[in-house]
Amino acid sequence: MSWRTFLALLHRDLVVSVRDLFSFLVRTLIQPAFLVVILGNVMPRLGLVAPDLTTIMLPGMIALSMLFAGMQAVAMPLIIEFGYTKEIEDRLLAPIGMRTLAVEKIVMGALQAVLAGLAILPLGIYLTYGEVRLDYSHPLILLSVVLGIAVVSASFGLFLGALIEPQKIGLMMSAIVAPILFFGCTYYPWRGLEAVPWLQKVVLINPLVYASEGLRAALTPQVPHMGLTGIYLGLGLSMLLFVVVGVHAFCRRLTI
Amino acid sequence: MTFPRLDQPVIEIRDLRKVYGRPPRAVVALDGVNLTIYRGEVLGLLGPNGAGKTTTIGILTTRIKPTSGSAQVAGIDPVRLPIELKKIIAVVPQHMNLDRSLTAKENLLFHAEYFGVAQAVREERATRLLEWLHLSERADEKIDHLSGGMRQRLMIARALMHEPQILFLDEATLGLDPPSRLLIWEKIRALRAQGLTIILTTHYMEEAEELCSRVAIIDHGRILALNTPDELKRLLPGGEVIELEFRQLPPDVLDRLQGVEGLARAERDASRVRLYVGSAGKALPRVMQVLDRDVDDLLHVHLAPATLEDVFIYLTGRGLRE
Repeated sequence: MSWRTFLALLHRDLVVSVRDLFSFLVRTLIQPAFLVVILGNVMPRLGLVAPDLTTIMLPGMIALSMLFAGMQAVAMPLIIEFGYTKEIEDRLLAPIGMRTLAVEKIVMGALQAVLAGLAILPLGIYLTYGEVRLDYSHPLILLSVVLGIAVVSASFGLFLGALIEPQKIGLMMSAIVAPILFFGCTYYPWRGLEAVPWLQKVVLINPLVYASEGLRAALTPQVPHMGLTGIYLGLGLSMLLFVVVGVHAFCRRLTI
Repeated sequence: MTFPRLDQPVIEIRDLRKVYGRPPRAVVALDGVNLTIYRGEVLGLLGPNGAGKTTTIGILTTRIKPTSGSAQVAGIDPVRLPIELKKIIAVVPQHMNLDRSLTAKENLLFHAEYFGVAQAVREERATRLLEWLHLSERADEKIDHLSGGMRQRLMIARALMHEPQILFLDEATLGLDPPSRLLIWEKIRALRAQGLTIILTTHYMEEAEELCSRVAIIDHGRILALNTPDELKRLLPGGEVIELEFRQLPPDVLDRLQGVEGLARAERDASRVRLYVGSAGKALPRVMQVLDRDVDDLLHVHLAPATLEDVFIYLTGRGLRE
């Protein structure tokens, strides 16, 4: 019974997201598209950055977009449901356990993160100046890294969604999202940080670092990147941490 | 009104306690509730806001964990087997929690899908329930475009989509206009006639009197009385009430009224006097005679057969809407 309920809830979320696809794509693509145009097209033409930046940046952009798409897809509706609409109370009366409901949210967010990644890829290829050299010869690394990022982003969203009050969404964006964004090795490779050794160590607490470096290892292995052990360890630990604290925070919020 | 036979217990609540928060800010919501509800009855939980009605429903519907005591709903413990229990109950909550991303009909269809109802069956049921609750014309509209009364009816339809054995209605008519309320009453009566067990909370007296086979009067987390509305009214000394409202209450008025024929009990507050008497008609002339010199201060005289509100005031010493 629980499986059927799980699939029914997933069905509901899929129907709603397909209807919402246009605004999902706008929300997900607008900012990365402009970044790609400015950093990857305009600035290289002006000779202000090296043409290589495009190749270095693209995996980071994909990682970043996936992380925020999955996070927002889970966190935003939850913040509203917990804070105002109480719609979550209805889902809770379905014959399903709280934890299974939490897992359903993660699965749905992860799907949206993957979709975001797929949507960014062509932007990166077609809007940039000069050639981006992507290497598709490591499909297993690509698949596992993409799945890892997707789960990390959705469970991080579950955690934030259960924790943040609606009136603190602005605070969440500047206090949590901004540091992740800038210290996530998106526009620069982690190896490059050897020039600033303390920063190279500090950024290791940021899951986006492993996401960006993971996609570099998969798509642009010619760019110096973190070793696979480090990438999988980082992604694995982030996944474990956020799934555990996310599900815990979600259940705690719902227990009266 | 037909009364169900009270021989098949379906809900049994024993010494149920619920404390929210921790000392020193702990709030006792339920303070040892005992209650047995039988199959086919409409039981009303009547009490003011904060009496413990919603907490009781929350525990019986798996949403709230009791601090101590036990509850069995259709033989199932809501704490230990919540998923099993959720399959056979339905809840119409106090707060609108319809799915705003879906249309009215989709709300029903997806709800049934969560409960594993087959597709053909849920289509047929949704159409029939929308019709029954006068919502067919709005079936394809989003929730935000429905009025309060329509949303309330839609939540009732949603609750019936998986054919529950027990229906919980938490303040089902709160804030609705009279026509909407009457329509919902009519539907609850129809469900009662079909033999559905219904537990409803309300702080409207008329609602409890109209719909319930038995009423539990609840206040400060305790059940003060439990019986049919008629039997509850017999708790009152004297069967009728005279209420007198004054511009300024004469100080010795209660003493002077003591001699009134058939007076079982007299109470006063800042501006009103309530007299519980055997027959209001017989007692009134004598009351007016006693009050002769205060007639200029008298604003209203109200005679009525006792209502559940009188019983409530008698049991708790305060009104329901205070």
